[in-house]
Amino acid sequence: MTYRSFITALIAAGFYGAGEGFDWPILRQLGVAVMVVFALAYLWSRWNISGLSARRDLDASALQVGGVLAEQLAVRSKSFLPKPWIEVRDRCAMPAHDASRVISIGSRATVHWETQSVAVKRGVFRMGPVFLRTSDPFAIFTHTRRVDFDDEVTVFPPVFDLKNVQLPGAQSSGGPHIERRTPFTTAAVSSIRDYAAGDPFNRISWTSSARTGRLMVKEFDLDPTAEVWVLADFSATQAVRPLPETERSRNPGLTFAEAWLDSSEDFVAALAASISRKAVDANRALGFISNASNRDFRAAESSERQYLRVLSALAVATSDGSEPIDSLLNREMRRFDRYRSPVVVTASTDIDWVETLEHATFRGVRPTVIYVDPQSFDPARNSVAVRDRLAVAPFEVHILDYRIGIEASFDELAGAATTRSWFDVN
Amino acid sequence: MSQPRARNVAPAKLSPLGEGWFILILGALSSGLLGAVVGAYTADANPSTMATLASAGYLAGYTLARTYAPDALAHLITFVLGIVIALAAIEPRTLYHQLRAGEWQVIGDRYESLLRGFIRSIDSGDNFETDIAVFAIGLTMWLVGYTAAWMLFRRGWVFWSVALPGGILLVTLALEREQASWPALLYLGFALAIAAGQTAISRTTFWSARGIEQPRSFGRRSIVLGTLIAALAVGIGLYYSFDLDDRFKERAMSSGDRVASWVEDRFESSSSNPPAPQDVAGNYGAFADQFKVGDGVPSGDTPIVVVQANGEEYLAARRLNEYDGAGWRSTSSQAGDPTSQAPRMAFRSDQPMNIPRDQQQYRAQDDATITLLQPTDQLLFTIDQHYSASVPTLVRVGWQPVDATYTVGQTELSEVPVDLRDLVGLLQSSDFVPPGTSATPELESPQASAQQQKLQDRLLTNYPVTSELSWADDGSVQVHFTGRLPVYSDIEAVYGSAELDNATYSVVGLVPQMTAADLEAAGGNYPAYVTDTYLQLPGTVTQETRDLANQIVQQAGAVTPYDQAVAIQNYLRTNFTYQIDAGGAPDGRDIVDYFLFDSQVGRCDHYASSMAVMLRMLGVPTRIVTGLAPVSYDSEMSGYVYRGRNAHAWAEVYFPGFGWVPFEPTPTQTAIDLDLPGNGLAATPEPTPSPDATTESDQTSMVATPSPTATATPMPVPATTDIQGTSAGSNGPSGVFFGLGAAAIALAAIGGFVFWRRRNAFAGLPPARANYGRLQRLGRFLGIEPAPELTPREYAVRFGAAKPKSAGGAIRVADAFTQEQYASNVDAGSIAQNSDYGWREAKQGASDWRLWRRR
Repeated sequence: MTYRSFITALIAAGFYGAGEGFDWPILRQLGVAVMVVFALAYLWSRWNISGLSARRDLDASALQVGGVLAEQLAVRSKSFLPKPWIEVRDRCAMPAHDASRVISIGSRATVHWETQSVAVKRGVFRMGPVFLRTSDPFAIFTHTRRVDFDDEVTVFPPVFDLKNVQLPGAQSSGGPHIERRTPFTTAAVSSIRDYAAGDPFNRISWTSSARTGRLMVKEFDLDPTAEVWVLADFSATQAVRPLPETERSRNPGLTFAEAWLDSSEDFVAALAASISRKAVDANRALGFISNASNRDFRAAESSERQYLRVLSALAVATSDGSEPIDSLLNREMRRFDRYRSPVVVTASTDIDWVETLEHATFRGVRPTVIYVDPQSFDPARNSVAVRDRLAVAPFEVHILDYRIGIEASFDELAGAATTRSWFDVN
Repeated sequence: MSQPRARNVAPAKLSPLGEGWFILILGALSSGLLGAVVGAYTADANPSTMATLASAGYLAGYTLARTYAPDALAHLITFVLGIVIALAAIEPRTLYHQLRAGEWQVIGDRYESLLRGFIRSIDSGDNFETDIAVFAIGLTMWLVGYTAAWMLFRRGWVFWSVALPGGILLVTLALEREQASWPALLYLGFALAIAAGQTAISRTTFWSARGIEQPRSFGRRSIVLGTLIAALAVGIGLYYSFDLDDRFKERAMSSGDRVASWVEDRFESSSSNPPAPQDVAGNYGAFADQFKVGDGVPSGDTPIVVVQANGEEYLAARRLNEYDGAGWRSTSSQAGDPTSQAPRMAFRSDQPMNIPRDQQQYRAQDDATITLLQPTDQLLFTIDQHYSASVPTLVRVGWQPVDATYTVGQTELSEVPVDLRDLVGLLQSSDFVPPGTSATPELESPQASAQQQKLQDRLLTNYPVTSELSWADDGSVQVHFTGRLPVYSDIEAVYGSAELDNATYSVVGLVPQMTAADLEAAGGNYPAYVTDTYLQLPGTVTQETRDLANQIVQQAGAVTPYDQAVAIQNYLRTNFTYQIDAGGAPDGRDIVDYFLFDSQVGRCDHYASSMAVMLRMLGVPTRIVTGLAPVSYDSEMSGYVYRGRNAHAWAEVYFPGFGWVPFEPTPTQTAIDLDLPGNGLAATPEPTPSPDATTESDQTSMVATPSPTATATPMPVPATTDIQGTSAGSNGPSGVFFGLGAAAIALAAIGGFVFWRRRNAFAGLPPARANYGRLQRLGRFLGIEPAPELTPREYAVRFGAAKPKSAGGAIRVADAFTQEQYASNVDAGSIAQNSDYGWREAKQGASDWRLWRRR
């Protein structure tokens, strides 16, 4: 019983009781009238909420930040009584998407409406629930019905064309096929042979086994091009959000999608996705490692499906990891060599990770660094030391300035000032 | 397409347009209704003027509430404006002419004198003179209208906005309880429609602020629907009139009784045992509407009443008519019409009962002044046949069915029962439309016709008595009455309609002046309602008792009812032993049978019951009276002091043409000898000494001085005899005060509940959460609405923007709340302390809203 209904009942009982006690018909009549209002209000609100169902149809289950999501929401009434107003409150988790509306439904009718919204935040969002709420004209009673939906929408980070970024190649690049067997699984399958004891099961080629009637295993060659491993730094220490004054001084000519990126975390995700796209477009094997709290590791693979896996990981990655990028690099660096090149995307102000990469170059690793300059977000984050060190680092470096945006930072001409190439150093 | 919305949404504000006009018009109408009712119910006040003032006040309140005028300034303007307008409204035409004539000095002098008189009356507490009263009421109406509008349109307090004028309306109606209920119900309809309109606007504003699309017609639909529900409720409320209520209840009760009787009959028919006495309880000393013979012992030396009277008096408290084998109960409230419970009759102070003339001529008035020392549950002690009281009373009387036809123009008005005389008199004094014009007789005059309808409705509502007019064969008009009517000489009990604790009141009774010879000649032609009510006997009464009664009257040679009554009275007084602690009968035994044949030891209720039962067996209507037996004069208390131990029960016997005559079967009391001067229950009269005469010698001399015997005086028929709760002026002031007191208690209870609820709204919550809730509640009160999309800190910043002095405290409260909710490894004690400090700071900073707050 709500407060209003309690007070109404109290008034009705008070009137009627006082009327009986004082034997005054007016009070009794008032009591009866208020009781009638109480009863009708309850019945009306109950009738209004009964026989309702809701359905929502999405035009897509995945899109990128900056994309437009359209959905159709339908509320159907099976009641023969018309319903003057139903408040449909959409509680879907997707920011800026709200299909809420107040509707009136006729007898046994359905009301449809379409809602479109821009995906402004990456993530996986549950579409719903929807609350159908109604009450009587006096708001004495309010009834709410919850309708849950199973639909989810995944919003991937935006992907930009990083024009000035060149993916690192292998030192043996140029040969059509080096025919050098590798004990690792690579993207290049060279041949098949009969199964021998000790061969791992995941090398079995089931299609060939079916065709030949014998167990056959695949043999791999080293990829003629180097694998691209994207290392996205989602450690909590690197996360930074722009100050309001920085926000105001930001380049007004940003792309639509970039306008929704407002933290180093979003930029790391967007740039990692952009590098991944670039690698897949170049038919390079793509690996992915992140140091978010739920550490993500995707072995290198050259396929669209791998790209989607990386995007999915980036969609939900947040800067909540406890492991610094330097620690991640130290731990994973043994994985890289001249055929496997890391692309590090970070906003860390810790200079150790630069040194780690410098040391790696001594054994033929050819890293690439995309540095999201935290000082461009917040002047209090001093990144001068890192940038100075990167300026003389023996690998390719790209620096993103938040204020001017991705396009300008990576533009071949505009970005020249902030980009240094391995080859330039040599 | 939904666009991303701004994060900060402005707080909802009332819309002055759209549905707001509907509320404004309804509010002005409801205030006008209040003004009209107050004007109509107040002498010298013009209803239309008062309605105009109240409506104008409402419109002024609306206008000022929608501006940015500070509260105090708006109130001041309104008050000054109200004084001017209320003064002008006293005699507007005179003022108009004076203004045209430029008589400024005259106008100024007049209004200065009025204002001085107004202030003087307030200072002295004297009643207002006419003009001043009109001014005061007009000013009140103006201010009530203004306040209602202000609360609604400035504060958004819809409940208090309608409750204030509604409460005043009810109090006004309570002053004239006979008046119709439609103003109250119409006001309720207005209030509900206003509530619907305000709710619609609030919702629209809420949705608009959140960018939620809504049907354009939502507001109109909601208001129309709310108004329809309100109209339906008001219609049902109007239909639910007083008599319908009682009829419904009575039908339900009678249905239940029929079922119970059916079950009982089945049970009795299947049982060979004689019926057992029913379960009555209490002893006669409680003066309740039932008692069990032999139950308990009335005792106590504490004085109940002190009486100033002409002699030792029997003080009657209650008459009981139904015997059930174990005791007595009163069923007079169910008499006359089994479908409807009879109400009590209201009498004003000193308004005499309508006693039939034939009974009056054999009785004389006797009076007594009674001071209550113990509460009696509003029960008045009376003397013999009650005639009048100095306080307003509610009298429970017997009822008789009526089914009579009177020919208009041929019936003497004195032949018509007093309750029907208004209608019959109106018909006799009015002209009818000639026969043939209509199927039933109709009065020519519309006014007379309206009056006829009003009287017929009143009869139907109050008694109920239905009345139908028809044409007789000779072309004359007949009016036929069916229903029930009160018997004013058949009184069960008299109640004070006002609080009686420690009250002093006077009662006048009619004591019998008839002789034994008169009663012997009375005969046995009893009215039907008397035999229906006062000859009842249960199945527990034994044949032995019947045989004894017949034996007694045969041995005494008693033939007439009076002689039979005297014979049985004397038999009882001489053949049984009085014992105050004599108990009741064993289970299943009839108490009279047990007393007469087994125990033969009893007290007054045994004696009186036995007399009543045996006389009823002989066909003589008899009833039991409980009250107080006569006592000696107490010089210390300067009066006759009746105590609990003086409780007594005796019998009354009905004699046609004479009414009820008392008998005393209990041997410890002096027998009542009708042939002695000053007979009846006013036993040998003694003069009441003056308060100064307190010496022993004085008393002795005064006892020896006989008082003059009162003579019977003709009794005027009451000008009005009204049903309780419907009489103009009956139960007026006391009822109003009682009602006001009850309303005040109810309001205090509601207020206490609201206060308690507000105080404990955050009980059990963590301290910082509770303080943040308090901050939000304070914000709502100040118009700083919390919104779901605001973080605590954002809300605190908004709060601080509206109340700069509270800015620091609000942020402190919000931060503490955030820390408490989301931070780990924090010191809960310091958070709570910080939060409390912030809340005090925010509260103090916001407390300056009353004087200069702008919205």
